[in-house]
Amino acid sequence: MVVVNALVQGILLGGVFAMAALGLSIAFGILRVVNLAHGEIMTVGAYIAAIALSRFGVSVWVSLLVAVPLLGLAGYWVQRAMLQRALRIGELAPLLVTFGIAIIIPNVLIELFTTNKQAIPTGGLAVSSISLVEGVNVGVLPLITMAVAVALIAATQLYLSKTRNGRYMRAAADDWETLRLMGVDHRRVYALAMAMAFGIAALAGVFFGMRQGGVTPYDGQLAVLFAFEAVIIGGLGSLWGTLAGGIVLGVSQTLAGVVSPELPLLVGNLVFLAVLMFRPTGIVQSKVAV
Amino acid sequence: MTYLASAGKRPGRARHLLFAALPAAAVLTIAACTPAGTGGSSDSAEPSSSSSELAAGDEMGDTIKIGYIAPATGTLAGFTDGDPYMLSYVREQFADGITIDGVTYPVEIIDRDSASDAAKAGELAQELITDEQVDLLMATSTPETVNPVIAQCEANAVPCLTANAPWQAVIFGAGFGPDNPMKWTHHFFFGIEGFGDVDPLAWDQIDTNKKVGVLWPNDSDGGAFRDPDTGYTPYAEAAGYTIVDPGAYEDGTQDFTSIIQTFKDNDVEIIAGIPIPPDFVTFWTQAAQQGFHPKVATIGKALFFPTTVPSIPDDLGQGLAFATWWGPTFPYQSSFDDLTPQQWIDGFEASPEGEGLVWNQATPLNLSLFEVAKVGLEASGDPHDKAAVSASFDDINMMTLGGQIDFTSGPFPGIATIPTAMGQWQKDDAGEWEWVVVDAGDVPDLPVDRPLDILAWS
Repeated sequence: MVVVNALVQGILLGGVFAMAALGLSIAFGILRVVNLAHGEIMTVGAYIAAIALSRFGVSVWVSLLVAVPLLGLAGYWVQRAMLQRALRIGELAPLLVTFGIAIIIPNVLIELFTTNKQAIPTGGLAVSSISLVEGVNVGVLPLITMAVAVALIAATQLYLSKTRNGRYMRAAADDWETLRLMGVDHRRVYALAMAMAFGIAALAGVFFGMRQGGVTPYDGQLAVLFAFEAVIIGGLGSLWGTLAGGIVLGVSQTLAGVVSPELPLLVGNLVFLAVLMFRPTGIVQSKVAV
Repeated sequence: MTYLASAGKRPGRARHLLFAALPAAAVLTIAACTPAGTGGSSDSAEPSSSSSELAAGDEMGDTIKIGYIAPATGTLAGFTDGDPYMLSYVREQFADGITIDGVTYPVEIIDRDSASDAAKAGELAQELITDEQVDLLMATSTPETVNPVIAQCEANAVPCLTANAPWQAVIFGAGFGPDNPMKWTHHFFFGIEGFGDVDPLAWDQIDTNKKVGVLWPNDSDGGAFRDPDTGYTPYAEAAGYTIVDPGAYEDGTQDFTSIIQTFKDNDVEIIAGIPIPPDFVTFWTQAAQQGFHPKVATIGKALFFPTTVPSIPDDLGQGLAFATWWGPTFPYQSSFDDLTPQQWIDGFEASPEGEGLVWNQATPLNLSLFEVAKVGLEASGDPHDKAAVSASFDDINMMTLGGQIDFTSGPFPGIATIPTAMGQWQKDDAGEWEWVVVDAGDVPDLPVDRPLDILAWS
């Protein structure tokens, strides 16, 4: 029963990892940009939720309506004004730009809000749970997180395959020069994809914050590590792969915890390393974008 | 602090990149209106140093230079967010210089930001010693800041005064010991005994099965607590309690299911430990989710930061207890202006530097550094005689804002310990979080507000 419990908790933990990984996967799959600032974008999303709550009394769920479009807009212009320009210098330049953003954001947050933790209270939600069987309790918030992650991935998949903009995005990922010859502004398409990536990152950041009861300026550094691992395990650029990657990472952490509390992070990192060595394309074959 | 320590490298680059990325005018604005942490500290000497002016007619000595290294930015900045206020207060105190044997010396305080990076702390110490030729170097907040500074002082024979780091981590962590004492350094803070002596006093107030589940992470603090001889266990066992140690989990662990299971299987009714803040919130939330309901919890480190408890979901922070070393009711008095803790807090909260901040327990000890420095320099006879200054600290036994600092009776040469008491968090009638004293512990004459409440799980 201990193992079953660990398995269940691990799968649910995978939900939050997958959500964090999704935006990263989009940015890489479509734009070929490794967004090192992904964790910090999540942090900003969580800050918007926390500030909306403490200053204006807006509930977390309503604040998502602000945080997601706001960061989407930010993503659009970061791509158009900075990353697209940086691309002219060289392939590595956008990476360095995102690294710079990753450093600037926490420092700006400290200037504005101090290092103090900004609370994101969710009332009883974060601690309420459902008892499946004796010895296996499932938290309601992790369950919601998982459901939202799955819905988000399904919606993104549909968007990319069914809509005109989605098709442009896939086309831009494959061959932007041809897309341009067809009369489509690839820069706009790229910017839209980055807007999506940022918006989803904001959403993931809010869920990460709810899980930890709040957010501090440096929370993004750990979040981005797990997100990267989930993306690599699942397969770069594969959307459902991020879910699989998240769950594999979550389950390997919780199962390792059953053996010994020293192991979860180590085993998670080892699984990541093993996938990178023996199956660098990830465990799920990519169907989209790449 | 495995992940914090590695993460702490980034802010160092952060400042430079931030500065490089912004136009010069914007940089000036940022430097001028730094509200939290970075106030007054910068990489150039000019804005951060203040010379005192002399009254005419005094016999004048050469300027005394005091270096002060603290993590003003980065992951450890929570320790020092009261420093801008503290430093401006101290500079006022030293405005007229120090008079020693009829000679008045101007005092220059040079503060530097370690950016929460141990390597940078060491570089800054070297710079202050060789370039600025400081007469006294001070450092504060965590072994990551203090130890590299001490290493430079010991190597260069410069008097050093440090605080706000468990003394075992300073002595044993830096390779000192009974056979190899610190020659130039004086450090004050409590150590494992500050937790081990006081935590059982809280547990004793509640009827339990005396089984204590501990959260000792796989970092330097966790390792020191786990040591079977010099760690925490002997204190708990001496008080009649059994330790249940699930093992050294990593800082940043996302799931505590197996640890909670271990506690359940062993019928643990008491929780103690020194987790980092996010880990404790994760643990406590999952404990509630999975129906693990201990009766008492005494948590160090995580609860030190005043914003941790209010951020725990569903008011589950209610009733958490922790070893504390300073608060508004502590019977302490500063040697500057006879300030009491309550007066200090009032002054801080009313000041522009304190706006938006909650007072914390680290700042008063940082002020104590300057109080001790002043008395030590005065007693030395010649503030530029490094050996005399260092030796004069050996005899210090004085009351400061942060408590009684006594270098004459410490556990090691150059170490002074401060006492701890037990505090417990509660929500007041207005819905604001506060903590009250539930046991005076080792602090003499500390009024106890009320007995410890058992944790209420709804």
